[in-house]
Amino acid sequence: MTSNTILELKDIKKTYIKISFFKKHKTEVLKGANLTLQQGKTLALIGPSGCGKTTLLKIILGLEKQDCGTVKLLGKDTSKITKKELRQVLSNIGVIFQDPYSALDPRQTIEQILSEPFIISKKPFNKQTLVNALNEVSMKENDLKKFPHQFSGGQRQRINIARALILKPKLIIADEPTSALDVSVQAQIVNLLTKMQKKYNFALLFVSHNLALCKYLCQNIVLVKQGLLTEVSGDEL
Amino acid sequence: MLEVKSLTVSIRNKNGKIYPLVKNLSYKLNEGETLAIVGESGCGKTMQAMAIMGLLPPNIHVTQGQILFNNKNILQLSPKERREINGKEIALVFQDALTALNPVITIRQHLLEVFKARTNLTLNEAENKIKELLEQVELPQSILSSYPHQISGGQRQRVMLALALTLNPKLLIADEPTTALDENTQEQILNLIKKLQKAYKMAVIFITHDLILAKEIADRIFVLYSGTKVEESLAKELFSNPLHPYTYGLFKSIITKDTPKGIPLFEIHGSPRGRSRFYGCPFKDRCKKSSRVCYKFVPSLEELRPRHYCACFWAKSIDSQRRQND
Ligand SMILES: Nc1ncnc2c1ncn2[C@@H]1O[C@H](COP(=O)(O)OP(=O)(O)OP(=O)(O)O)[C@@H](O)[C@H]1O
Ligand SMILES: Nc1ncnc2c1ncn2[C@@H]1O[C@H](COP(=O)(O)OP(=O)(O)O)[C@@H](O)[C@H]1O
Ligand code: SF4
Ligand SMILES: [Mg+2]
Ligand SMILES: [Mg+2]
Repeated sequence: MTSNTILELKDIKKTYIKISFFKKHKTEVLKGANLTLQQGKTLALIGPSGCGKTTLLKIILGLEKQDCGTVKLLGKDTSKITKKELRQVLSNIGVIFQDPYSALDPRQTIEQILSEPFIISKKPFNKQTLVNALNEVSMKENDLKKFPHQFSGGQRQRINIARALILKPKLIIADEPTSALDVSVQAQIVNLLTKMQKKYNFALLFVSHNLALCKYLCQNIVLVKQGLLTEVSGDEL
Repeated sequence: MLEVKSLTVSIRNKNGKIYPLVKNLSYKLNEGETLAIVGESGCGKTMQAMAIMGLLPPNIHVTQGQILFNNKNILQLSPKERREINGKEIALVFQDALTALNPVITIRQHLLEVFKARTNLTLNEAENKIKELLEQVELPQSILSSYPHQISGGQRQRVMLALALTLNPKLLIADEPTTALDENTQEQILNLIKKLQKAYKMAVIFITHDLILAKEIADRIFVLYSGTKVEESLAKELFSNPLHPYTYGLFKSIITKDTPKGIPLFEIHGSPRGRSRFYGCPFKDRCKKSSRVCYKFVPSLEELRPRHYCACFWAKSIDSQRRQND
């Protein structure tokens, strides 16, 4: 492993067990997933609905526990570090969720939403930091006082991106950030993401079910199929 | 069967000011026909659907126009008569499946609930119907004991479709039903809707922001921009001959396998919000073809080609030039 490896997954397995009154259902979602992602690079993850893309991302972020296998973020095995270290590592990851409509807490102002990453990771910030972050995604200072419902889907996704970028992360994880948006807004958001990536050189793990979009974003595409990940050249698809 | 006449839906904001979300919208829908409504998010697609369903949020009202369903103005029905129609005559598949489903009850209970409230079926008959429905939307029976958060986004939309079909409606309004699905599943759901539509002579209003999907499923398409219909034609015609600059921009923004890598995607800059939507053409601030007239007057919807309507000064002049050349 080189020092530029941002994310490394080894043999991740996950089975959901659901116990209902009559019987036990097992869904074997991941059967040994491997993946490496280098600094500044983009990997697109593609696969049919329900194949486990979101599950994989949740495992990377520690929101769901794998049955076995290791997740290494910035070279650290996340199961072998202290809570404090984990928080430090996770502050290097920005996340953009599938659904711009429910990703933002409706009761918080944009100012509160953007300050949250600083508060969680106990890092200092001031109002100007927040204003700059908004400006970068073409939004204005007076948007800080507003609530999520006052914005369109595209604008909410801009706010999501601003929040994901605000700690200058080394890795951005985006779970179908544009699939709930229309094509014109999708183009804007994709352009914004790639522009930001050029500027900050973060690694991007991009989940999508739009093959054309995956091909546009990167050379190699990771297929999620029957619990396994296979990296293939976009030209072969 | 459905006729929307000069429908205006308006919102009253905190200061008591009223402004329109859907402006003077008219369209017709025949039995068994599929109409797609295309437009970017926030343009009013869902609001016009909610107006038909009688489910507008409290601060939003129909301020003008009529909605005729089988020649009856359904805006004047009593709440009780409305409830009779919803589900049985007109059913809606919501855009946001997770919030539309109740998080604390299982999928089985969701479906049973509808049969219990709206039909005289026995428990056994209902269970059988549910089995059938699941097969139709291609979900495994094991899903019945799941709670909404335990199934994937795609599976949730199928549940929503099953729920909408429980009472065999005559009109199905599908509000972005496939937005969260992968391409294969989208295809399957579209085919499913087509199949059911034939079997039950169901008319479908398919709301989407995806022009490609719209073409695949619809007989006719209209494009909504900022609450106004800007273009309408048969589906094929819209693809071969987009007349309105906004429609054209939407086509250009679609990413295909041939989209060149490494250079920014084509985008329509800006967003439809802002004050200036109250005068002139609603698209003027983002339009590459705009001229002075677009800032002064509102372009009206005109039939520029047979059954192809467009509201744009530029398209009109270009088209008349083209016709002179022919
Ligand atoms: N909390 C849970 N409990 C039980 N099963 C779950 C849970 N979360 C997900 N699953 C199951 O795991 C599988 C993978 O789900 P996941 O959400 O990762 O899919 P996805 O690839 O993100 O799909 P989509 O494209 O629809 O978002 C599905 O079969 C789903 O039903
Ligand atoms: N509950 C609400 N309160 C206030 N404004 C709303 C509400 N719901 C929608 N709107 C506004 O109405 C307009 C049309 O919304 P909608 O019909 O949902 O758009 P679409 O379905 O085309 O994405 C938007 O400007 C939106 O912000
Ligand atoms: S009327 Fe003018 S501003 Fe409106 S779409 Fe046509 S050219 Fe553009
Ligand atoms: Mg997912
Ligand atoms: Mg909508």
